[in-house]
Amino acid sequence: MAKITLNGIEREVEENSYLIRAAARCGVHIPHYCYHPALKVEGNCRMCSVEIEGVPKLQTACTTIVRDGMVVNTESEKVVKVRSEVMEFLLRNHPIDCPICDQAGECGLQDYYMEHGLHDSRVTVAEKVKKKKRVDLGPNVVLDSERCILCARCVRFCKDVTGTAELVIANRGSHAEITTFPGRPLTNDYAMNTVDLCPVGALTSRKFRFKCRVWFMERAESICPGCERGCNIYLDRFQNEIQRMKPRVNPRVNGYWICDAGRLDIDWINTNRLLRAEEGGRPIAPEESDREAASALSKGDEVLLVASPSMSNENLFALKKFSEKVLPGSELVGGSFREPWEDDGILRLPDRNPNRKGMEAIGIPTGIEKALATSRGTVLLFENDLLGDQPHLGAKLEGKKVIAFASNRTATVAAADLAVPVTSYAEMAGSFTNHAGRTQPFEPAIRPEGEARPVHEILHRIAAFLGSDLNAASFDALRSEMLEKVSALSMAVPDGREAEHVG
Amino acid sequence: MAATERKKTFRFSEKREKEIAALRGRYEYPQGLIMPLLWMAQYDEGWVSPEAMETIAEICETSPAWVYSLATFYTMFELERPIRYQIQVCHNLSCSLNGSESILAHLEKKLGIRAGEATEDGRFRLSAVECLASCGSGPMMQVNTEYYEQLTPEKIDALLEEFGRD
Repeated sequence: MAKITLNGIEREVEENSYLIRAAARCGVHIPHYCYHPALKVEGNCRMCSVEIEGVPKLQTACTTIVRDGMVVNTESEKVVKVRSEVMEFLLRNHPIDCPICDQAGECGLQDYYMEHGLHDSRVTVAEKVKKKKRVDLGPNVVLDSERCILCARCVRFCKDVTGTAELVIANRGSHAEITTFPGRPLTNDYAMNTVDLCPVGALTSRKFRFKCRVWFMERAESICPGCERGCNIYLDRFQNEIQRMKPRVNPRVNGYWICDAGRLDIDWINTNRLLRAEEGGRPIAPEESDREAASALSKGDEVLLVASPSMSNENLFALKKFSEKVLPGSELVGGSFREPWEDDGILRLPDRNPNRKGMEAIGIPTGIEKALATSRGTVLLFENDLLGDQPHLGAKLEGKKVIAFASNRTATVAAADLAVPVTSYAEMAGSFTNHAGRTQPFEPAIRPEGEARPVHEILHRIAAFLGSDLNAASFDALRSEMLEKVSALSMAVPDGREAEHVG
Repeated sequence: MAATERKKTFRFSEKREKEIAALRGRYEYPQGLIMPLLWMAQYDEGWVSPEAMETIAEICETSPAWVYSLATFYTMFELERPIRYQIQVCHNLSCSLNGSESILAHLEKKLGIRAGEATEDGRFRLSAVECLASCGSGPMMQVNTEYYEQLTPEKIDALLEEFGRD
């Protein structure tokens, strides 16, 4: 540890750490744009200039390593003045188009101008250097060159994190701007992280552009269901619709990033949903569908329950309990495993099933091929689209009574005798267990549309019709019971939120 | 100019490759070679083409964008192919009376471009200009610094053939 004096208070900080980081850990925020905890330091924006006793000129806190006995002032008259002047330089050519800018509301320029700038512009809009307002850098990222302050976070991200180095600063002086090599667009699988990294409104997401004002949105902490990594995410909602997915910092899982494939896979939550229970295509009330399902199960013939590795631990646990307690003669297997994709060495892992590990821990075996071949009676499919994903298995549903519990309208739902709407991961609380056995909770981001309910609630109702108490109506009680019985699923607490959104 | 549309590739001459090999030891990282290679490409070709930047990126183990960033920073690098033949046809009164319109039309047809445009390979640029003070010898045109006077389609053909050999 090193001892430094920060704004008159003596502090113990980590040795050899950068001053900006050390100060942040002491709760002292030093304004900055180009610095980002997950990127190499560059010291180009000059916003983090601070006064260090014995050093004649101001030093950038992001490039200065703490020294024992260092006396630092981050709020002296000189520092405050320089900060305001740096702001004036950064805003020299800013188009002040906040009313049409997506970043408005979460913009580093707006925030710091109010805190440290508040100067009158000496430059008229007519005198400002005009640049391109809409540059398609790649399929998912759009650049507004006029808003860019050339902090080069995006450049460093592409150089050091993805190693693809597509983005650079071309030209010089007032004409300097972010660009790709002509004819070589920004296509790497993590490109949209540059939009998060951009402290201003220069880089915007093509998908989210002009969709929603950020101050209208509310966010929920969730887990990306795209692969077994279990990246920590935020789901931002407006008017009960998911507007965008953003990474949530967790150094133990995904650091600061998520992949574009995961981030963009939100449309299915908002579209093509199964909203009402249907029997042979005819809508029926939820009560009726529960009774219908119960009566199909009470006939005493063989029952096959098919779980999915995309279901939450809590729902899987309720299903396991249902099969053991309510239908002791039934068979329960996991099905509908998604095809693997390539491990890209950054975040994506080959297994695209978010909760395979949870399913294993709860004790649901695989082997759907065999189970379907031998089953003769009723088949209950939970979040399984056998006809769509695995048509060769779908054919084996012929002649059986099929009850599909599904969030979306799939081929299987269309063919089922009874289809029951269930909530997606975005509309309920739950948890996934990732590749490393880390069980991570997620919270509901939106209210369920239509008559969709979580699987455990539906199972509880069906059990009641069959004369059993599944004790799965309350989510909290269900989770407690699960945590008690399945010790492998102890809940991980998210950590490392410091310095999350900076500038 | 999408990458797929560009079929040409750039290669340094054998002599240059020997020079590059000799330079390698001087720099800690292969990226240190970017500047000397940009200079070589410009010296050899008169400009730095996108193809040259791609080749340089390969040699220097970096992305073409990184080379582009450096090349655009220094104004001394020429990033557009310089026009080899600047053809300016007079379209003022004397020349017009002597048939400059058909001369211009002939040039447009032969070069496959309209006045005000450059050929795809960047060798010729054609423009119709105001009086060049050679009214006694129209129709006339100026190519780079030279005057060509009392033009006929045949004369144009011969001239273009001569330029084409260059």
